[in-house]
Amino acid sequence: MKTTQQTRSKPQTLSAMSRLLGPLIGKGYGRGMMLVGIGITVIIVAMSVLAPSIAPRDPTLIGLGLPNNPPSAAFPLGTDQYGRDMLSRIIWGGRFILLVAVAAVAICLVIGLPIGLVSAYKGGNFDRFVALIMDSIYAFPSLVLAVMIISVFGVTIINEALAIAVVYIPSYFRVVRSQVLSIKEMPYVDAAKSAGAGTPSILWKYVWPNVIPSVVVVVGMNFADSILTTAGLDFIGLGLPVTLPDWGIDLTYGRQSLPLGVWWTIVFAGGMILLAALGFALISEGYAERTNPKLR
Amino acid sequence: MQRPANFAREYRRKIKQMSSETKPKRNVTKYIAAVVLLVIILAGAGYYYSTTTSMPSTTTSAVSPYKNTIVVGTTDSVESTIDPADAYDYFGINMIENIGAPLIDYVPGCSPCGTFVPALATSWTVSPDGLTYTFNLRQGVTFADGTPFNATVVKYSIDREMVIDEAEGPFAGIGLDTQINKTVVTSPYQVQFILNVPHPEFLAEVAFTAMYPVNPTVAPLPSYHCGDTCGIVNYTGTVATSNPNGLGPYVMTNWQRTAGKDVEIDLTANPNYWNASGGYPKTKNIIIKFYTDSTSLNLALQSGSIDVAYRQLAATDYQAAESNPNLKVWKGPGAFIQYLVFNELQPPFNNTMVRRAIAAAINRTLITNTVFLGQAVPLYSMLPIGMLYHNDAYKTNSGDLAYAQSQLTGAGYSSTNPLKFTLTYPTGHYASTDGIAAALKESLEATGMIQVTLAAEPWANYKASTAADQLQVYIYGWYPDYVYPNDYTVPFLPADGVGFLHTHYESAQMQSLLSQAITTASNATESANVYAQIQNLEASDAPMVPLFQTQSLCVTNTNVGGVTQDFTTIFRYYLLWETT
Amino acid sequence: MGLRDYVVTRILLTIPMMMILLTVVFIVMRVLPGNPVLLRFEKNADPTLIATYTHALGLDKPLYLQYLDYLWGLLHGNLGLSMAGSFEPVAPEITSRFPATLELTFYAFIVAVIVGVLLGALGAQKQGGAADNSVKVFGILIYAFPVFFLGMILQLIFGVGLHILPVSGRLDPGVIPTSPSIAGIHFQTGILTVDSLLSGNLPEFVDAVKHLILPATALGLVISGTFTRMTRTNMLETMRADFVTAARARGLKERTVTYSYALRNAILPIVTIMGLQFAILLSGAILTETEFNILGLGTYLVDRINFRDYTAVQGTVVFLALLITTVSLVVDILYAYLDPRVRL
Repeated sequence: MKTTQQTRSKPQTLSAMSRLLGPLIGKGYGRGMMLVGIGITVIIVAMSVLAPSIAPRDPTLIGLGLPNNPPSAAFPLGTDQYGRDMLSRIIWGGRFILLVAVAAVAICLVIGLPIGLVSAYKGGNFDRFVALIMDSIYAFPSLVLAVMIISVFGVTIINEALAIAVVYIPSYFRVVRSQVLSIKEMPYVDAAKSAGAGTPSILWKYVWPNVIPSVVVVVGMNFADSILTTAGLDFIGLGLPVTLPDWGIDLTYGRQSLPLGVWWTIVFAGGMILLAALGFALISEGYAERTNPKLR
Repeated sequence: MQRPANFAREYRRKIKQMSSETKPKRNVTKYIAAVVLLVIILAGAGYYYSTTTSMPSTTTSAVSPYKNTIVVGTTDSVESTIDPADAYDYFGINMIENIGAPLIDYVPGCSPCGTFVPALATSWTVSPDGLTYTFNLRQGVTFADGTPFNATVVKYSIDREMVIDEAEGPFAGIGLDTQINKTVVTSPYQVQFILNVPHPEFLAEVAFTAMYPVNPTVAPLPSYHCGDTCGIVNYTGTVATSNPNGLGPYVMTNWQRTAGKDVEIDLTANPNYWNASGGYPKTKNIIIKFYTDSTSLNLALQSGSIDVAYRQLAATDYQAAESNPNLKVWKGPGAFIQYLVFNELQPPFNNTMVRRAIAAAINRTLITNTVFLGQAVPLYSMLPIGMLYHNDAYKTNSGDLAYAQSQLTGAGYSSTNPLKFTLTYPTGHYASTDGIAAALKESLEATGMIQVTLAAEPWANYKASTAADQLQVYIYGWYPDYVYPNDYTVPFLPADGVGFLHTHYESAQMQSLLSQAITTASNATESANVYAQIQNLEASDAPMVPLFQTQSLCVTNTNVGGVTQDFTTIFRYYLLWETT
Repeated sequence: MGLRDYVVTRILLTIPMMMILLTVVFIVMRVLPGNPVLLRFEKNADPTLIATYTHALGLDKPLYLQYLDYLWGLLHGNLGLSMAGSFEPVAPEITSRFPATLELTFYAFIVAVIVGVLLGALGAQKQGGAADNSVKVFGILIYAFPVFFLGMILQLIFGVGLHILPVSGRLDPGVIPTSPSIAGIHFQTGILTVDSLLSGNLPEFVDAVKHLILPATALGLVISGTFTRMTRTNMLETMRADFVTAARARGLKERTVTYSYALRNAILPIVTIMGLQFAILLSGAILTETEFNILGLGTYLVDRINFRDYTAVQGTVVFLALLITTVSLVVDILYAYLDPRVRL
């Protein structure tokens, strides 16, 4: 069985794309998990993107049905405490959460990867100093940091994304850095250098393809964590204004009716958050299993 | 399984270091099973133990069928202090009303609430010119620490209010600082208030907490006006130094508060209460537990850990409680109103046509029926229904979308150029504000010419933003300080437009009408006329738009009685009782 | 290197890490927003009021002085003054609220370790089978579960539905926390389960435990996912090792091999992630406390934010940062003591 360990003897010359997509096809461990994760994610993203077309009703109109009505033919997912249609609210409710997640991951990739590459390649005290900073931030609870940033700067998509990204950047940094460090001293890199290859081409040809699998795994978890953190911020009142339907907001306000035994608002809104996070986590886990035999 | 050679060597070394082949072979599984078994046994014992342990202070004796302790739950909290010179929030005032006593009081359950009964004063007279109020005080009444109550104490208390005169406090809030000229002690048990001009509502104001006597040994009397930075009795951590009251049916024996939020307050019957012989308070101990939100409150009520839940539950909670055989919902007339406020410093809300358009477009039934499930009624005046001189001034044009659209067009808006603004509402103070906001947004956008963005702010921020004139359109509520029409006019319509609402609405005509209301107060017909004009002008200028009025609602278990709710919205713990 | 050298090195390393964190907090909470007092009151507020606050909080001093004051204050346990009105010091409030959080995270951690290790061991033992797959799925599923959602479900089932467990607060109304005394000196840790046991107040202990069951379970379960995965992975590795094969060859039962040999060695690496898990526990604790109405540091933080009390928020974050670095330090030293390899 061919393993794709980070080997120390042979340069990986497969292109970046094939390193990325390779694990997606072919049989083996983790394929089931990954495919399920991809399926879930695709459905949720499609639902959010197509929300205006597929939602049966306006999710913000109150009084459409009786308040706190259990799921029925007219309202398949029931109504919330103001008589709004839960089905439409669920369909619309993922947009903001997904948007923040995408922004957070984008920020992480744009900042984390280059810093990791540069710092590890440069080495020396600069590298150690940057690594120290990253280690300090790495251990910090993401929610506390997010809360700190948002309390001061207010709630916008960018602020939330930034707050979430800050704690995750060290993960990307570490993953890239370890890869670069292990490859830096390889003979074939020396060979390439003496053949006149510049740093960028070395990074691109040798480092980047090896980094991709680990980065994909981190990206998946990043998405999952971002979704959970955004929902958490909604719960403690630091989320977006209540104008838009949002799973986190519905979960938070649905809690009001919990003592009345109203389970549908909570279960569906919470369930969607869970599913969204699960989808990405499965992708991440499945991909990790396929590319790292130790996890099997 | 192939592994790189050096890896295996390292691995072996690690394992050899950590494990030893000569360790005794202990079966860990048995250990785990034993621990689990132990946990189960402990849990079972604990559960058995806890269900057979009764609550410490509840005793049932063969003699009395009533409980000694009632537990009340609420989501409120004392906002800052329980000092009558400072407290202007519902809960702080409510505490004072149960641990302090006024000179005269309302009749519990009154309807209407225009007559007063003796409390710390046994009788009183008003001079013919309406300027001098003489009160004869009850004798033999003392504070818990032995300080006697007499006319000097009353003068001390009122003088103190005059000196402190906190700008956002209750004394200045209802205008007492300009009404009272001086307080005179005419004899050890007789005190006089001399007013500057006649105020027919003065008796009602005497029944308000700002006029409650305080204990001179606890509450300082500053020598100069320093607002709220001196002289106010703040929470110190010990009840004795945090509570300047002490003549009421209860004494506060415990006040746990952390980081500005109350945790628990314990009240015990006051043996020195002037009306103890009348059988008050009905229940010896009251424990007040504070919850962070309506969910926790409701859960506590359902699980029976509290006997009474008062403020704030959601409309759906009351509705569910009505069909719950273990609970009882108490309803009473309420003088609590909520209204929309415009800040005229924020264009285009300085434009009367815009305000009128919004006032007309509001669909109140959406709020009262969908959000409050019928527990509220539409309100068409800033005077509540049931208040003297109330009339539905805002009813003309209400719900008339065509009228709203015409006003908007006149102001320069259209469906392609809609009026856009932010509607801000508070969280954590009033009930269901998110629903109210959603309903307002829906009804305003039905005109097709308005686009509303909703914004929520926690209560403390909300007040700060209001004070800083940051908000455009926002929601506030009002409870009566005292039962008289001008409590619903004067506070909302200060001459400079600031007050606590920051409407920045200035109208000479309105101010003239308000003065007339004072001068014509003794003549019912003229008074009615003036108040009608005030309400009509309000509707026409629309600096605020009244939305709805709610009943007072309280939920208890079926053993509780004595919940008395009337127009004053005073919640009297001392009337509560519970059968065992 | 020896243990002593490692400890010294590690402590020396902690200092710059703490400094970095403290500086980051200072920059985010003090430098970037400008004057927090203005944020608190916004523009157009009474200038004398703003001046009073600014001066009382020391915000009119030059930045470098403020930074030094900040660090100097920390050495004395001064976490700043609250902006809530009377400039109360923040540190006593934090220390009064912290025990509740500590109690919750401690019991949650126990739940997480027990559940995680047992399930991980089960999965490793039955590798590839249905049980293993279930364990893997559980690990990921529970990780993706929002902790407050799980809390709500537990409340629904055990509180509202079955009515057998309390769903909010730390004690029933009327149960007064007792403070134990040693040699006549009264003290109170604030950790109810400890205090009540030490003062022999069994009803209070039982009540406190009852109130802890649901929140600790919710928080613990959510954290257990990581422990499950880690235990399983480590055990799989360990079980392939030579000494395990040797044990099998000697004829020991499979169960003995799994639990006595493999598990013991697999658990050790869990210590390494304990520090990290503590941080995650704290995040989860904020949400759990809000859900279950427990007055701990998490609800304090949320409350202070609602009050726009920036200095209190800063103080709390600093406290948490220091706490986490200390815990990481202790955990690392502990692991170095247990596994000499790490010291190299």
